Amino acid sequence: MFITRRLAMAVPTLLVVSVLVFFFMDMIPGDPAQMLAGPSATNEEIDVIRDALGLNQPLLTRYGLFIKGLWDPSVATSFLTHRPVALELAERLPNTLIVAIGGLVLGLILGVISGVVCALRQGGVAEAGITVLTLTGISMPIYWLGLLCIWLFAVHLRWLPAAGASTPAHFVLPILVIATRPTAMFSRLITANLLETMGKDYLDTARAKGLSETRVIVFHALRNSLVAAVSVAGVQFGGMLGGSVITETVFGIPGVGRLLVEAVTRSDYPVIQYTILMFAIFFVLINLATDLLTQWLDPRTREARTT
Amino acid sequence: MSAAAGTTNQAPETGTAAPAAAKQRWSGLRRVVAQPKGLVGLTLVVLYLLLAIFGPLLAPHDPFRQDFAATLKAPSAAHWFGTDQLGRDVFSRVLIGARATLGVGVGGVTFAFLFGVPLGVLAAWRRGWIDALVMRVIDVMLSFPDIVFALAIVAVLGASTQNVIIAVGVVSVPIFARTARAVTLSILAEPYIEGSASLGASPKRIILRHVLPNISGTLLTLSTLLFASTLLSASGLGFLGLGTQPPNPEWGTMLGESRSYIRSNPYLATFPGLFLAGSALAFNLLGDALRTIYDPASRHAVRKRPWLGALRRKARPASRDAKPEATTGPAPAVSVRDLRLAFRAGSGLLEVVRAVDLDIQPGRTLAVVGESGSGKTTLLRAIATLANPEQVAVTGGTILIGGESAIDLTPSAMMDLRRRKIGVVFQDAASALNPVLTIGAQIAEAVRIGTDLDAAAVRQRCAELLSDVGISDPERRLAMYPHQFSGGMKQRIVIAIALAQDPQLLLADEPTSALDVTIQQQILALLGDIQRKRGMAVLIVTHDLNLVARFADDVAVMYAGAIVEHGAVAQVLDSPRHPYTQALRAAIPGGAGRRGKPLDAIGGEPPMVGMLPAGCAFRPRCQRTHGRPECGRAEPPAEMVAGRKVACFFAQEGLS
Repeated sequence: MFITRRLAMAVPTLLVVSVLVFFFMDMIPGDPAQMLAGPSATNEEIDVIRDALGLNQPLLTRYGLFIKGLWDPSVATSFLTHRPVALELAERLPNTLIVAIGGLVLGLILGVISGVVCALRQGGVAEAGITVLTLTGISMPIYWLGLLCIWLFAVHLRWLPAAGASTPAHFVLPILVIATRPTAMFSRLITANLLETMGKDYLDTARAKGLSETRVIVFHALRNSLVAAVSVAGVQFGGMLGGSVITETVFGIPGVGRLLVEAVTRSDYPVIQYTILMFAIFFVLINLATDLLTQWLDPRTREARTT
Repeated sequence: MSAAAGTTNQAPETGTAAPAAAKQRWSGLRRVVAQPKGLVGLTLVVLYLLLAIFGPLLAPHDPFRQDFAATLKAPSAAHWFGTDQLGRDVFSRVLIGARATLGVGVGGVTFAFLFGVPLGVLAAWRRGWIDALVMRVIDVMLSFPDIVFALAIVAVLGASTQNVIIAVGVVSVPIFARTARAVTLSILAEPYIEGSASLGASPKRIILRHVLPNISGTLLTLSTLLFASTLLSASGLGFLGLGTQPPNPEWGTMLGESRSYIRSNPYLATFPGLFLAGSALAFNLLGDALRTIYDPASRHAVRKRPWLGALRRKARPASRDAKPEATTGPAPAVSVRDLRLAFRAGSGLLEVVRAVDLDIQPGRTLAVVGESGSGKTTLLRAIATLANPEQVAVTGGTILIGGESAIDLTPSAMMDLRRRKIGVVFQDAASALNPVLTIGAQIAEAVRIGTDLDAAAVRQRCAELLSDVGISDPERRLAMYPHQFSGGMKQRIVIAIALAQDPQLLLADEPTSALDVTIQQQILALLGDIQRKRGMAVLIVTHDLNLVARFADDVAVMYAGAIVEHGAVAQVLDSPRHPYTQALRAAIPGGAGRRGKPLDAIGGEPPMVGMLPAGCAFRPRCQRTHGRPECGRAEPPAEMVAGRKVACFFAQEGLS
């Protein structure tokens, strides 16, 4: 029931998002048809293109065409390659997803471990070290860290390839680098959350049962931090999809982010539009999934919630 | 003395209670600098801002002059950071670039602040359709990944420094708006705002006088943290070639240019990146320090040492020469001898439990009564082996549970002892149950450990336990979560968990103070019933003398960490011998089933831990001492008087 209501809420958001993205086209200074035709094109040629793009039709029809392009690849083609935008996106999406999901999973694992250590070893060397590392992690421009890692691992040590996406080894560096931010985020979150939870009576209830401290921490304390971790994971995943525009430039990965950057530099508007729309749809879906998962994980909110 | 200490040591913990004054702003600065990260962060931020202002003056070379004879040089005395692909001096370019880089951050955050904050305050103030509209717009804006959104704006407006400021600013508008709305809503809900409104204060006045000063701390924190991320996104656009356009230097743009030369000349990427990461770190450090001050939720992240502020003086060194008395007859379920417990405070140990002796035979109930802070809960937790060794030290004495020592155990021996012998019932059942696990899972955990029952048998046993504590339909209820039960039911479940391992000793820490009167009666009746059936020893900590009279066999009265009177309930409560017990007794209208507040009726205040008066701890409040020198000379030993132990030199007085 909550699911249907939450889904119903996402629909208008998506609608507004699609309208916004569509109007980017109209806001762009200059005539797309002229840009597409090139500087040497005659007026007739431009008119033909204008017709083909449907630019002479009324606004609503053009919006309809734009929406139609979501499932009909023939409507939306790249100015540059003249291939359907859908095809361009579909080819590159796996690379983007591998890096983002890999980074998220790695960040979650490392972040939870370091967060637990930091919470349990308060006041020690480990805590100080982890605190410094996490703060550095969230302050690190990943494009700089990426360049440094390329220099160290690819140029200097020659352990890993520097750029591309042809072998699994190509994904190691990007995933490692992109994982720094989520690692730092999860670590700080888990530490703060655990410290808050550590004073709770229910941990003593668990201890009084004769459970081991490890079990008390993992099953009782950490279980409670999971809810918060999931919502942060959603935000981080979305952030990493967006961050792909930078990561993929640094590591030369042919992914959706790189496609968008190239499209922006070369004014390939259909690609820009549909890529941004795709990112937005992903974002809305991730938020939706996060909400549902958080609901499900926290029994207190599992029943009727009124937002 | 103790009363004065109590007030002077109370640090004001008012988060949003009073409007901020100018003085408070300086105290904010002092609190930032008091934290190491705040000090480092603030220093770095100031240095970076100075760099942005004076950088161009300091540059040793013309940052735009190209020298094709000296391209891509490593750092040297002439070019501290080397030269770039056009032979320009990187050091000078980094210095000049500070202004563009930090300027974009400042501009972006200012833009977001100026649009976001009024929008959020307006939405919170006007509510209704404006609020709904603002929230929807925020929803939509947050549907784009921020850097992609910024990229889209740059795509429309074109790549330039100014457009990057707009792009990263627009991206942060919803974050400011949402935060400003949330904090404004919470401030507007404060009673003193409603008070001002009802006194006829104009909306403008309320916003200016009350709302803005109170949300400024949160917004300052947010601005600082957002500054770091804005800086990184803006320079990210620069890195992609969509920010500040060459030949103007900006750290992100410089990094983007250096990418092509990472193989041959890694220095080129090193320095702009270092400065960029350093500036983000500086603002993050400062923001973190601000957050610990202004964000009530993150106060948990700061290590809590509740007694630290209140307790200063060093405890007297305690001797560790415990001499357990030779006991005869059946072994008591619990036997405590000369137990001394101390809080670990920054300045040393503060003794909270002083030389406590007590025994409980199987089947008997001992109630420990005393004011808050008398050490009774610490005593109970130590017996339960649940005292946190980082906070509480056993400085002397012994605890034997069923003949086994409960002190200095290895973790596995402690787990074993807890499992076999001890059950604990806490004061607040709501927090004693894990909110995210079903009660079935929580009971089963206790049943399963140390046994090899199969799943069905465990379930069967859990259901039995629930019906033992008077919960009907146990099979169905096992699958429910704590929040689905009432307070009294939760306490029954906590009792069921405590009973799951057939403990010989049940420890109950104010088990009914969180419950209403009728439920209290039911829970006490249940505990009494279970005790009779199982023959457990029960130690109950309470401040409710009526409860003691009805429920316990023996009573121990604690004052300032020591037991001052200890004997059978009938004797101690009917004819108390210690002046403190007498005062407690007198504070309660006999038999009128309401909970008394003994504190109000006893003159003076309980002493601070670690600041006990010399001699008898109760002396400053005692009605019996009349300034006699014995009371100030030494702590009175507990002696048998009229069938119970009393720690008072003049316990015989008034004995008829």
